Amino acid sequence: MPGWLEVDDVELLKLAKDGEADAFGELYERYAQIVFRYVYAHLRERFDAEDLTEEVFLRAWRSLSNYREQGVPFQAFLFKIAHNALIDFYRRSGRSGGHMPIEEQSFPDLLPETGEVALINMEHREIRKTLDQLRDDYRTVLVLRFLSGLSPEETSEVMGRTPGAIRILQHRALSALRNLLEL
Amino acid sequence: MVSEILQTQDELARVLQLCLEVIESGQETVDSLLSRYPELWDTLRPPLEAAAWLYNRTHLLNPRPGFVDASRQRLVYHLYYERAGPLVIPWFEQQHFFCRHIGGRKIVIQPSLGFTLLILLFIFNFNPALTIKPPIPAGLLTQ
Repeated sequence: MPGWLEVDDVELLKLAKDGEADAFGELYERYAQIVFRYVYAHLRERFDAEDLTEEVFLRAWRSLSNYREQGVPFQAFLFKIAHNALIDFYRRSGRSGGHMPIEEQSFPDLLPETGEVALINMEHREIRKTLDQLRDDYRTVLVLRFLSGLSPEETSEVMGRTPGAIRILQHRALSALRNLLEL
Repeated sequence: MVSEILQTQDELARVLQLCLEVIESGQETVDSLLSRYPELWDTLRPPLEAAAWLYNRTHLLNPRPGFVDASRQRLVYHLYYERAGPLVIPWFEQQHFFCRHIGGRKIVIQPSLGFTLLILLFIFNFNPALTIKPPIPAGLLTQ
């Protein structure tokens, strides 16, 4: 689908609303990675994050008729769906919230890992372990701003706060994170 | 002068955001930025170090190579399928009775597939053509 690359998000959304699945596929290509990072920062298993990323876009497709460009930007729309999908995931898994005890997170995988994969998984656990010690709003602002790469304005749309409030929250969250790190 | 500007928390947060943008754009590193503004060292060093810690770990949260392409194809196929409104029983769509991660791949068997296999097995087992006895026992001809 070489033609889609030149089409901007607004046009893609319009086409997707008219039922053009390929246009929505292009939007998926553009935003899947940042949604995946957001979801994976909250989950232990990569496979769960992959499933949930697809679910987020499927839900977005089904609720496109409710989306108005004059309202929230598409990214914010996606991340709100991702947030709700995470909550539903925790409910399905029988957990009450995002903070799963660390002891439960470290049961071994079914298959032996290669050295590189094991290292990545270990570092991923380290990030989650560290972020899980923060308040929910601190963790959310850090994941959205630094791991998913959203601007303060975009983050403010997702979190329902002003950009100024997000900058202050970001400052506090970074200071709290620095206190946890052994640098 | 700078310390006066940094009186309010909002101003401090704003300056931090400016520093982050400079670092994100690659124009400065945390160290080079702080060395140019030593008066901000104590205030900005902790949050900037934390930000650098996060930036350096972003790649750990990337999807597997090929995941986005493969799942895009899956998604688009599913959307076309959904739009066409196929004759499916919703329960068959939602559930799967076998789901395992084998060799890094997720293997899922949905009830619709399992049901089809069961029917085929049934037909195969009770196929009259296979149960008819040979009309002439081969043994009689070879004696």
